[in-house]
Amino acid sequence: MAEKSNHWTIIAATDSGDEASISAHPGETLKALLVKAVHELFGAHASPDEYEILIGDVKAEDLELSLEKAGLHDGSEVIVQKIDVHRG
Amino acid sequence: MDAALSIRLIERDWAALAAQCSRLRLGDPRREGLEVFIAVPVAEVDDPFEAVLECDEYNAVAPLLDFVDPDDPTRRGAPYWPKFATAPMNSIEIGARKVPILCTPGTRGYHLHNSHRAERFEPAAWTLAYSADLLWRLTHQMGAYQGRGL
Repeated sequence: MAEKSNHWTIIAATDSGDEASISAHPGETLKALLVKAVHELFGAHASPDEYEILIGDVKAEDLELSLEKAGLHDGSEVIVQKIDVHRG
Repeated sequence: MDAALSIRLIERDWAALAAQCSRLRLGDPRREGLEVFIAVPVAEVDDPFEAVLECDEYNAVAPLLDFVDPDDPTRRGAPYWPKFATAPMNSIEIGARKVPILCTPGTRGYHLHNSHRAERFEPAAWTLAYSADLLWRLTHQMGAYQGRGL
C-alpha cells in the first residue's frame, strides 16, 4: 500500500489565470501557502498582506488553518488575488 | 483589428479561461464567433445569470461585459444583470446602444468611459481569465444581492 505523501503540489493561479506550482505539506497554514504563492506569482517585492486566497468560489477567512483542514489536497487549485479591485 | 486574429487570441487564452471558470465555480464557457458566454450562479437565485464577453478586437481592447437573456442571447443589457448593493455600476453609449458597465479596470466600459479614457493599461489587464475573476468579484465582493435587473 502506497504511503500517503507528505509533500503536496498546490496549483496557485492569479486573477489573470497565470499559474505556479507551490510545494507544501499538509500541516502548513494557508498563510504560509499565501506567502509562498504571492512571492512566486507576483515577485519577492509583493506584500502578502494585500492578497487573499480563494478555495473554490470561497475566500479563505482563517489563514491559520492547515491546508488539510482547509480541505486542500495534493493537486488542489487555489486563486491568489488582490483583496479588492479599483472601482471607478 | 482582424476578426481572425481576435479568434486566434481567444483560442490561445481559452484554456486559462476554462480553468479559471472551473476554479471559481462558474459555468463552462462557450464561444460563438467573437462572443463568449459564461453562466454566473448567484447564491440566492435558482437560475444562473448569463454573462457575455463581446471580444471583437480582443485583445487590443478589453472584452465588453454584458448580461443576456439565457432564453434569447440577442436580448441583453440592464434587465439581465444581477444587481449588487456596492457594485460600481455606470453606463456608456456605444452607437445607439446603452450598455451598463462594471466600472473597474479590465472591462471595456471602464476603459471607454470619459473618466478613464486617458489611463493606459497593457492587454494583460483584461485577459479572459481576468474577466471570469471580475464576475466572481461582482457576485461575491460587491455587497448584497438585490435582484434581477439594474
